Amino acid sequence: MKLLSSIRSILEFVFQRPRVEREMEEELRSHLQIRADELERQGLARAAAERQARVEFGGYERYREECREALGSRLLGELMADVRYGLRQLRRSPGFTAVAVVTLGLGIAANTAIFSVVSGVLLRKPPGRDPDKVMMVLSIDRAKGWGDNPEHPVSAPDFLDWRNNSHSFEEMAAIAPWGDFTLTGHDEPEHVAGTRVSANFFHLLGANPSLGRTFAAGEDEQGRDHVLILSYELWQIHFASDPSVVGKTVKLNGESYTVVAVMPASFKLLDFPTQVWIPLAFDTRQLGPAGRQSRSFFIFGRLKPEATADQAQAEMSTIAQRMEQSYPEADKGWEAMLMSLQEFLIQDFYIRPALMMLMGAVGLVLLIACANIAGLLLARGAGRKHEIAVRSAMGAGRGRLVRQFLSENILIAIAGAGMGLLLAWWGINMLHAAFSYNEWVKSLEFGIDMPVLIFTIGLSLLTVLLSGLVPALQVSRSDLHGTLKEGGRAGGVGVSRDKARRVFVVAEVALALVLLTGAGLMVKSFLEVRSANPGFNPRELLTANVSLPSSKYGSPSQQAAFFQQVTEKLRSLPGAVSVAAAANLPLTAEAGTVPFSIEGRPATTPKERPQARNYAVSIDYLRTMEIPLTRGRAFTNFDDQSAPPVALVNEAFARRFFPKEDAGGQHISIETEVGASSPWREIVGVVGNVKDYFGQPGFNPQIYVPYVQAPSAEMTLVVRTKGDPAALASTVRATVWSVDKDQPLGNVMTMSQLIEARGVAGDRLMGELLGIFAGLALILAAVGIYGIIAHGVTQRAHEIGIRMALGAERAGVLRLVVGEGMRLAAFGLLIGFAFAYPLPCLFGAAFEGFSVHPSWIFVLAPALVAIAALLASYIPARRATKVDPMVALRYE
Amino acid sequence: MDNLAQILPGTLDLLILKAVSLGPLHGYGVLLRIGQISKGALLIEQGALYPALFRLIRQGLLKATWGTSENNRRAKYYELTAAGRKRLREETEGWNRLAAAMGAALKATPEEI
Repeated sequence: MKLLSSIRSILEFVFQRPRVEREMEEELRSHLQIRADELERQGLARAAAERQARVEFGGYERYREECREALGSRLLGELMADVRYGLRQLRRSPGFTAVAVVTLGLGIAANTAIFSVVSGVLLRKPPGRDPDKVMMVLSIDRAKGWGDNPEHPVSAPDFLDWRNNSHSFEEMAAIAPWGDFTLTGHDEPEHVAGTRVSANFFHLLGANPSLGRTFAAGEDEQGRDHVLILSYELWQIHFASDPSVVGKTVKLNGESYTVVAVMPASFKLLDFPTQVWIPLAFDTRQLGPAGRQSRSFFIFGRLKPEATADQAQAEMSTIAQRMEQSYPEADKGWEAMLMSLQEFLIQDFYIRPALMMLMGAVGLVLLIACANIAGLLLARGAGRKHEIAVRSAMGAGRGRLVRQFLSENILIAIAGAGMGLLLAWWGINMLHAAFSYNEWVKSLEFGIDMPVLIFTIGLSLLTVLLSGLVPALQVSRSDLHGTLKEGGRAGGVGVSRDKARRVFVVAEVALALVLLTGAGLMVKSFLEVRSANPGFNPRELLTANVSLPSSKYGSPSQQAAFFQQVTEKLRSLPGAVSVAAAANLPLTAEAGTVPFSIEGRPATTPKERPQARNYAVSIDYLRTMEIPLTRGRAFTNFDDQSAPPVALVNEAFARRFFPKEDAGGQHISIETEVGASSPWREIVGVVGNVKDYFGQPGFNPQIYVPYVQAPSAEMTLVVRTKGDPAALASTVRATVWSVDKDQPLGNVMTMSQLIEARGVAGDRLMGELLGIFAGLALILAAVGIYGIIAHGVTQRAHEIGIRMALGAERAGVLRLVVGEGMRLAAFGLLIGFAFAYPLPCLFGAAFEGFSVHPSWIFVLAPALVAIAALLASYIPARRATKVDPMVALRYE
Repeated sequence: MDNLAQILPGTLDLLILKAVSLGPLHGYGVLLRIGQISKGALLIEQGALYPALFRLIRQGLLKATWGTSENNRRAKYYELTAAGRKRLREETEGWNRLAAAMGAALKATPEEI
């Protein structure tokens, strides 16, 4: 009660000072008036009465001042005095203040920025109503083919059976994402990413359009499916945010579609980038028996309110088992697995381990920062033991002492937090910019995560307050007399407090070593992957993606003719050395794995068949990519549709499947199209190994087929150029348009850019960030060690003075001080090494394909930390030897 | 003025609480009431009242509201809070004990020793 009204009174005094002052003034004046009124009634003239009242009141100004004090200004005054004193103390040791504030700021900023990004990505809820109830149902390949994930999309007949037989879901919907469409009917043809969805897809997610209506039931049937929903982004850019777009007709792949809705900007599913949604109508082939083996649809299900994910999983497992028996040919060995949509979007994103690792790294940085602050404050506190004892002897109460120490430390904490906030804001923006290698990550919005900010600031405050409290409490507890008698030298030799500081040095060294080793491993892995020979020459290559609309180039021969014509024209360009077209490029993870059979080997079931990466390429492909032909011949113009089917294989293929015989002349059959009768292809040559994706550990078996024998509507043109490939970009565009002016080109970029976009950037960002944090940790640890050792030296100035006066050599003193620092560092390195040693294993478990020979990192990282520690103790040691013995002896 | 007793330090707060406990008063009214109940025997310099009033407000023993005095002046009226009433009771008991003890001590005669 008393405390409450005290606080209120003080707060009023602070924040409503004018009002409080005015009321006080008014009350005192009113008193004078009332008294004067009375005196007037007793017969005095008004002026005389007022004068008399004033006299009787006493010292007006003095009492007014006393009133102010009574209102709480005294506490305020003390607080202000503490703050002023604190500021003065901090100003007097600018080095200490700067180090403490910067350390805190960096620790807070690194954590807040990284945790904000992590929670922005990992904890982001999918759009729509009650997203926790939305599940993905996936097909799981129990036997998990090598090099592949066990999770697969689902076939149309499986989906329909699941939907008809399950009871755990309110509704289920299928989508076919990543479709490539050409949008025409406006000024420029545009390439758009489209997703086909069941009519109830939006209803299932509980997502409402910002304009128009979502698909109606039945619109996902053949014949009624020519309706389309625009993404906000496409609506904004392509349709200039036209509010009357709903009801208009646009051409998609040459066919007319009616726009029925525009989705809001917030409707985004990380993994399924989409600019247009159109209804998904299964065709007879997809629904037929062969369709059951064609797993390409992603299934969404909304759980009934009373159903749990576990119940639904149990039910789906039962259904999947029944289907294994009913359709052994297609479904034997396949299970059904549930996963929440949120989890699915993250796991498919391959960033969880990276983000987790970053969180670990910044956590270490924060620990080092806290250890740093604690060490610095303890050292400082110990050094001020004498000062505290004097103040205490002169009558400062324990509470008053603690308050003064706290206000000083709070100033540091506030400055650190402010700096942390600024840096965090800057860091998040920087991270966001760095993440821009991926369009869909770029579209995420990150903000400072409030709980995280509060947590980190809270933790730092706690560290600062606790380490600030210790010296104040210790001294008030300790024997003043002794402290005063020792003449202030106690801080330097006090054994128990020194132990605490030693522990901090050891801990910091250990933490820095762990972080540095981790960062070193990441950077080395990145360098190793980057310098690995991909098997072809990625320099001076220009690539351009072409996706032919089926309306115009429906037949394979039309597609082949188009690419034939374009490559011919490109070849005649002056800057072009060689030109090829390919359905998929190496190092980009574009090529899929296909099962195949080898002639003369026992027939196997589709699931047991060997697999290889399949590349459909034009003639000149090997020459353009500079992939060596080791045996046999390359493709020629004669390998066309009417010629016998042929294939090339890489050396890994030949070694794995024909270890003893010659691969040339053997026949293989690739099941590129389910149900289609695949012809036997003769292997006509063996080529060098090429990496399929960036960071691939070894080489996989690969099969090349001439694209004219396996045409596709989507191809990438590859041009080997003389000089800078980017310079040829506009010429290539113009050449394609000279063949077909309506044909859009996607992603005209150099091979290096393409590789960068498909994989390197993420690895590099990871390496860079870890490098930054490791550098930060190293600097912080060095500063911490320096601070503590330098302080120890200052404390021992007296002792060192005596030693030198007694004839100790400079070298001896140097050895003494540096030796102490290095002993602690060595101990820290030992502990740190124990924790750093298993890191390569841990990383290997977290990142697929991570294999690094850590040898030199285990030498370099400790060496770096040791050098930092050496410097941190050498500088104060050198200063110690410069001490004039006379001054040191007179010190204090 | 010599015939007026200087009040003991610490007793002003108690007097104010007592005065106010008899009904809401403005500052000058408190002085009049103290004069009245002490039969004019206790002297308080008028200005000294206000720091004490503000201190009691801060301690939550009094609360104040603005009102109008009998001769139409705007004035701040004070009354006791629950905590103030409790404090008045405790302090009164304490004072009575002290006064009784002092009285007894000062009345002591050589025979009683």
